[in-house]
Amino acid sequence: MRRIPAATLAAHLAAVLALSLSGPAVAQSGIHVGGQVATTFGVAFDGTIPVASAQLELRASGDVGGGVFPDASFEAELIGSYDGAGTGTDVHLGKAYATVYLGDTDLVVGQQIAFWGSTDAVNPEDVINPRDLSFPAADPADERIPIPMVRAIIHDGKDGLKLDLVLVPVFRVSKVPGPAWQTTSPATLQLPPGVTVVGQADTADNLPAAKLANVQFGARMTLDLDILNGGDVSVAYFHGIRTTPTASATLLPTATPGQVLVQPVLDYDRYDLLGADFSLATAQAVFRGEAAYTFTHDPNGTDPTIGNPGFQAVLEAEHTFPSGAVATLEGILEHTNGDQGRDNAATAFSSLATIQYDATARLTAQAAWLHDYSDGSGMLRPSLSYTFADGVTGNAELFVFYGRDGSRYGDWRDNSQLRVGLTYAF
Amino acid sequence: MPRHVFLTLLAAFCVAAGAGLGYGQKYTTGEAVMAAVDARPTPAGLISTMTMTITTRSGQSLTRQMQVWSANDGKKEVVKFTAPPDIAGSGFLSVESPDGSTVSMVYLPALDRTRRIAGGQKQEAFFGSDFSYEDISDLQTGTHEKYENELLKVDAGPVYVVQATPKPGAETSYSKLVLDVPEATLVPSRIEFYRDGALLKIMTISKTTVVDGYTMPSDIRMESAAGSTTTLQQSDFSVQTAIPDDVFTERFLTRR
Repeated sequence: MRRIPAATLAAHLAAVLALSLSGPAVAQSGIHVGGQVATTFGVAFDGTIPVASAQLELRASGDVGGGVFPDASFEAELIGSYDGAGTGTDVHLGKAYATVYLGDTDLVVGQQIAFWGSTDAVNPEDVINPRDLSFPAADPADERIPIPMVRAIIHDGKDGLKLDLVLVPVFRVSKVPGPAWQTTSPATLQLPPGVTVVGQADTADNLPAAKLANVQFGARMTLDLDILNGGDVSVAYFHGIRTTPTASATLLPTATPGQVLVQPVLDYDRYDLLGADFSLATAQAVFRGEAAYTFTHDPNGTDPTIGNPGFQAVLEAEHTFPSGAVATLEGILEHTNGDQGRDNAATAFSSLATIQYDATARLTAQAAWLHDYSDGSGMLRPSLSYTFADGVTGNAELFVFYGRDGSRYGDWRDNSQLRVGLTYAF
Repeated sequence: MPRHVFLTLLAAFCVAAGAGLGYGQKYTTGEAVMAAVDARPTPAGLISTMTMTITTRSGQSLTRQMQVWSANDGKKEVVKFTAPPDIAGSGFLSVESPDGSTVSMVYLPALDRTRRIAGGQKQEAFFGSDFSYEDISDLQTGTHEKYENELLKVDAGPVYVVQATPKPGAETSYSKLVLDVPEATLVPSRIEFYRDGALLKIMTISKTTVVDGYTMPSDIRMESAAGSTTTLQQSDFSVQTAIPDDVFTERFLTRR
């Protein structure tokens, strides 16, 4: 055996030791690239094709630094889609944000989604991100539009406290439902005597400008509860601008006396939201609740260009049956104050029942029933999901709206439809 | 009777009497067997990779890969999926309190939120597999203090066959377990799970791996009465002297 000189051995050992000692200080990094291809086809009960789309989503994520939490991480999405039945081609940036881990604080900056709330499907506190409401019956999680924001999440693990601070510098509007989903509402425009409407002017869309006065911000504090099988309670405040407009109309005089044009006006209400939510797990069920009161700048309902204050509350119970089926039942109460001097306050109570059953490792059946007791309308949504292979999932969903004309969901009866899709994640 | 003949007969009797215990067994009661299983040395913390293959009755397979952080004899556990891409990032957190109650939550990146799970919901299938959340939580060392244990028989090996029935108020969805415990490893090699008296599924541990002196199950198979099977292969074991408490938090669960 060839002997290694002691000096050489010592040098090698020193090098190995130096490398091993320097290990923890050397930044680790990793980047993962993935995404998905998804297609969706739909047919409505009235024979129209509401959707025939293909979508490509590319996603990159990565982090730098070792330890339980890295020093920093990022996530970015680029989404391109084509819908032959409607919106055509669209390419846009999805989430694109970076997180810096500063001790107990996560500082998240960029285009992102900030979800607040505890309940499923209906979340009175979930107001930060605008929505894509082009298909109003879609899953709420799919509707949220990422927007630029600065977010600091401060964790106090010892006391089970979490503080979530959010700053939204620039307003972004929700994507409103297409014409097929827009229901008619009775006109309330009062014409002065001797005045005739001769036409309609272009809509005045008073989008909030990008300026300091329109910055939105809020905070949510969560406390973990060491009771039963775990629970938590949160309080939230958000100073924001409604992402869906309040519509009103104004009269524009023309060159001819007594003849006016009607101009639709879209305004975006400033509001302050106070909310609270909880979740509580027991051995047999999980209970969740969420409520929020929205204060607008028209507390007495005197200004038609500003929406009135309102209240929304949701209570939910979830139970898993011995068969493995998971059922939830929600009660939803909504109230909007009326205009001054008018008896038009609106209160509605709805229920949402869902059940999900994994028939096999590949096949999942779901059903949801939403019913509005104030007008007897609602929606039924049975669906099936089948995993063809790892990362490849097909689904079929039926959306059935019912109710009389003029009711909340009854006006969407003709939009009842079947949608089938295939998603390949990579 | 000559003295040497007497001594020979006495020795033969003693051997026979010893054999009456069954294959030279070390434990005489179910409680003693399961106490020994519980007393088996386990690492303070363990990080491992799990590959889960779910095979339906028709023979089609799905594969999931996950990383597992476990501490306090499995009383604290985080599971994060790394593949396939459509469920990568999903995770499960389970922390058992000193009073025996368990706080559990799942994280689903598609929803961008965590959800608490009821104690009873731990019987739900673990991401579509034949394992339940409860099985995954109990996998590292089991929670046999929840059960009253009766020794049914001793097979060659010796392998102890123990029937475990839940103590009143115990947080488990099973009405009975029947465990085969080899004395050599004290890692159950086979467990039958019963619910409402009917056999629900059978778990078989066909391979164990010794890391830093600790014996860990590495090849596990769960076969349901319905005909589907799930295999779990544990690898890349990393024995830890301590895993920071920060790991067993919602913050870590949701970390991408």
